[in-house]
Amino acid sequence: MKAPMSKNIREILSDVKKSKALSGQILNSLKTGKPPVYKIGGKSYALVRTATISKGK
Amino acid sequence: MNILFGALLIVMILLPGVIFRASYLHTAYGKKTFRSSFLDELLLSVVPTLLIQVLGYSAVELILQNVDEHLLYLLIINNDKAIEYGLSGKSVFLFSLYNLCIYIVSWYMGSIARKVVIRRKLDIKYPILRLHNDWHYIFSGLMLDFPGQPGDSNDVSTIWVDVLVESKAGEIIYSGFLEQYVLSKEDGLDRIYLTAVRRRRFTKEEQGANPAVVNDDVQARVDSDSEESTLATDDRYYFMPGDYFIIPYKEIKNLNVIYYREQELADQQEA
Repeated sequence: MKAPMSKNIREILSDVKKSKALSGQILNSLKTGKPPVYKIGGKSYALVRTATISKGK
Repeated sequence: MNILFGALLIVMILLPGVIFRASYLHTAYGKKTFRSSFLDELLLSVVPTLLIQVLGYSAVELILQNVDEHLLYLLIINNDKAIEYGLSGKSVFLFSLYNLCIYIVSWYMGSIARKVVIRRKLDIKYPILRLHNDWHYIFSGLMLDFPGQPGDSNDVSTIWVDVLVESKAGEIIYSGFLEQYVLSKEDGLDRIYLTAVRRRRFTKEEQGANPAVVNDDVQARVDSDSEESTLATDDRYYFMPGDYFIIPYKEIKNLNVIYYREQELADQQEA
């Protein structure tokens, strides 16, 4: 089953360099608190964390 | 009379509920992804059976007005008096036609019920209506619609996953965007597909520590208008090339799931 993914994120992930940059931003944001930011079609977006769930086996 | 004939009639009468349940759980992947007891399944099949048969019987009674319930009863209890009634070919045909119609209606009712439940998110409110196991609700973002959870599943733009995996070289963390997941009936989850994955070792020295961000100042923007799209990040991470990175559930020790929503920035916030 497909996980939810916005059109903008999908577009970024189709580009290796941009996906690498975004994944790096997310890793850093977990420590700094600064949300990852990206630009698509002249508009800027931030990824805001809404919830975190941890699950073990 | 053969006792099996009575049993066959009972099965035919109960079958609409089973068909309804099968249709209700017939999702894109076409199989049940959670365990349930025989009693649960029986209960969840008997209730629809009663409803469908009552509706069907009422409709037939309204149209034909000569349904012989007594003969059906005698056949079910395998009573010899049923022979005296002289079961006609027409009765057998009408009974078979009735069952065929009821089975088709049951399938459609199950399908409609599933669509209504999904659209109105009734499976979140009522556990008895659940269509999948817990993993589906976590990975689809529907978990956020559960009472007391922050956020809304409709706002989820992407899901970031940190996966702790045991390997011969030690424990490794894979972090990436969740692309797909495959559920299974046995373990709940069969495998997950990640993209833009970064890998790092999870060593004892790092456990409990909170290493500083490497080069936070050079954090680059993912800018479609700019060539600058590489990021200096924690050196421990290795970016894994490839579109999909597949991790079987049996190798996963722990999962950390983070939900993100996309927020458009105003001009003054962009800088």
